[in-house]
Amino acid sequence: MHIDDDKLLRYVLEVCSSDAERQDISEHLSACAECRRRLEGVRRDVGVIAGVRPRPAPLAMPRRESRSGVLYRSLRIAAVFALGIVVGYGASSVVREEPVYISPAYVPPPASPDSIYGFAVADATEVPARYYEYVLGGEN
Amino acid sequence: MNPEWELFFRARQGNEKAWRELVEKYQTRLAALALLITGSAAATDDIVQETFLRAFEAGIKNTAGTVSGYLGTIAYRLALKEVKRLRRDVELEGRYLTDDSGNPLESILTRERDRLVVEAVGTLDDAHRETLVLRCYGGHSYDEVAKIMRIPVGTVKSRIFNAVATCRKLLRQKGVLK
Repeated sequence: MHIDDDKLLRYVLEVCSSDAERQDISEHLSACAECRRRLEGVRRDVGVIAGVRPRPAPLAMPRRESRSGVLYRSLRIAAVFALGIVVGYGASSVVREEPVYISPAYVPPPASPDSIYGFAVADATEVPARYYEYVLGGEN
Repeated sequence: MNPEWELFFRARQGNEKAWRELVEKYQTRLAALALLITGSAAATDDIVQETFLRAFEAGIKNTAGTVSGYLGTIAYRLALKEVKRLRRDVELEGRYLTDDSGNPLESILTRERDRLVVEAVGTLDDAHRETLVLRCYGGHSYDEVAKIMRIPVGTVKSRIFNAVATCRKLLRQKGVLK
């Protein structure tokens, strides 16, 4: 009586259910040429399944950064950042602030003649000379 | 330190010869892992490059495991992330995308047999596929796979057996296996 295929496969894969089973199979194989031949067939099959070989593609050697390299890189980044802050601050203090112009708006004169608005003006930024005279008591 | 890790650290320090050796030793397996998890030829090369990049940048404290397992774990996690991204974009679940436009499997697999294996593995559900790929391509023992996937070792073994049995059956039907 010969060993069945599943047992031979378990033997090749080293997944026998027990040491006793493995021992029985080994002993049988030592005495049975037919089962040894079938065992080689099973080994070949497993070899095919475990033997896929993709064609190799060129690989670039990874360059491992040394600890000093990491430190140097970190210091460089920190220096650039600090420089950016200094340059930004300096630039903001050198640039002259441009005056902000507010477009003149027409303010209609109120009914009361006692305020500046009682005087006709060309635009709201113009203070008429007559108002100065009024303030200074030049007019009644 | 074992020779595997010595090679890894020499490559990490910029030794070109060590880098070429490292790539020759692990690139193909990592590419297969990425391809089998994602089903995407387009994503595979990026995942492999990113794997080495992250492996070199990480601070490695424990060299008790294997370099193969270490790289395999990184590639696996990147591949899972890519699957989530692809599925979010296309709204497919549980299976490979069928439209990898511009990058068919033939662009990355020169052997017809390999293409059929990838298709067969693609018919498995996520749990079985990931377990199989971690074991066969990720360089992990059963115990390590159990730890990565947070499942019992018995479950890992059961899934591996069922996954391989299913793939064998499909590949026999396609004439790849006798």
